[in-house]
Amino acid sequence: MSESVMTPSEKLYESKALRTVTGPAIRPGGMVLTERALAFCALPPGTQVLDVGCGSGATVAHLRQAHGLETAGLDLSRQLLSEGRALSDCSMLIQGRAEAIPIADRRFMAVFCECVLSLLTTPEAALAEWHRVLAPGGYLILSDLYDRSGHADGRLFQALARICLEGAVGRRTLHERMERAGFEVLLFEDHTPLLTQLAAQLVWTHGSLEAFWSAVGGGCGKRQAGGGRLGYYLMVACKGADAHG
Amino acid sequence: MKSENNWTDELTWRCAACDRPLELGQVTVTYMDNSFTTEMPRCAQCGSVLVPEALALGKMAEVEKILEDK
Repeated sequence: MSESVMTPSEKLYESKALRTVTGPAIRPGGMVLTERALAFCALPPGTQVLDVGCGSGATVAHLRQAHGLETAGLDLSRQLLSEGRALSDCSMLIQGRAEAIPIADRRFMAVFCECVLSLLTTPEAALAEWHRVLAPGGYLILSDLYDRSGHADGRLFQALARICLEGAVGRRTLHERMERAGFEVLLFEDHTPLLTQLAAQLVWTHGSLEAFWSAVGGGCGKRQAGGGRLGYYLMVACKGADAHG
Repeated sequence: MKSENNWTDELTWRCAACDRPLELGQVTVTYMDNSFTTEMPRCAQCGSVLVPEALALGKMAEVEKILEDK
């Protein structure tokens, strides 16, 4: 990807201003929700797993080393993938789009996608693609921003509104999209405090939100109109109706 | 906002209880179960920390509002 076609979201994820605060797992809570999902799904060692939006591969390495999962990673950013490959044997890190994964059907028993879905311009196409690469009964594990709407703008929403938030839809829309894509939602949990902590840490580290957004190139420059109230969720869904329990 | 790399004025203060000059040291600030670590002027003997007004009214206030979601 060349600099000229990078999206604001890609710039944000590659920026040191953000990664200084988040560490290599570039999302609220780091591995906290990854571990929560793993405890729920109870994937045995050797399970084939894909991490969509893997960045430099921190989660891929964690899933392989701490849980013995045969994990591959996919990301659009050549910079982040290059950083990951320099750190370890990461032949399993693949460059590609979340909506066009260069891997055969039904390959994985779990697909992780953490803090990515709301940034995609065609989330329905991405869900269909993840459904394609999952084996029957496989798990889709999502964590992401969502709109907890119905309230006036909160400070948290204002703090992060320069991320392109058009993709942060409400819970009902999320569930409808999952059903249309052929998934059954098994778990939905609100984890907004992790997002709040990240926003506060960004301010603490950079001095102000203005300083942070300046350091990452200004965000997308658009603020979502209306009364959204930003939240963060963990969702686990499965391909097929009888895979869990 | 005051630069955190310039504590010249604050380091001229002495601890009222211990009568010792303040020194820069690592301080952990906790609010609503969230902790932040930074370097601030403190008394090496009793651990009292000097919080400058600019810091209290600047990023500390902003962090508080975010955590309170106001």
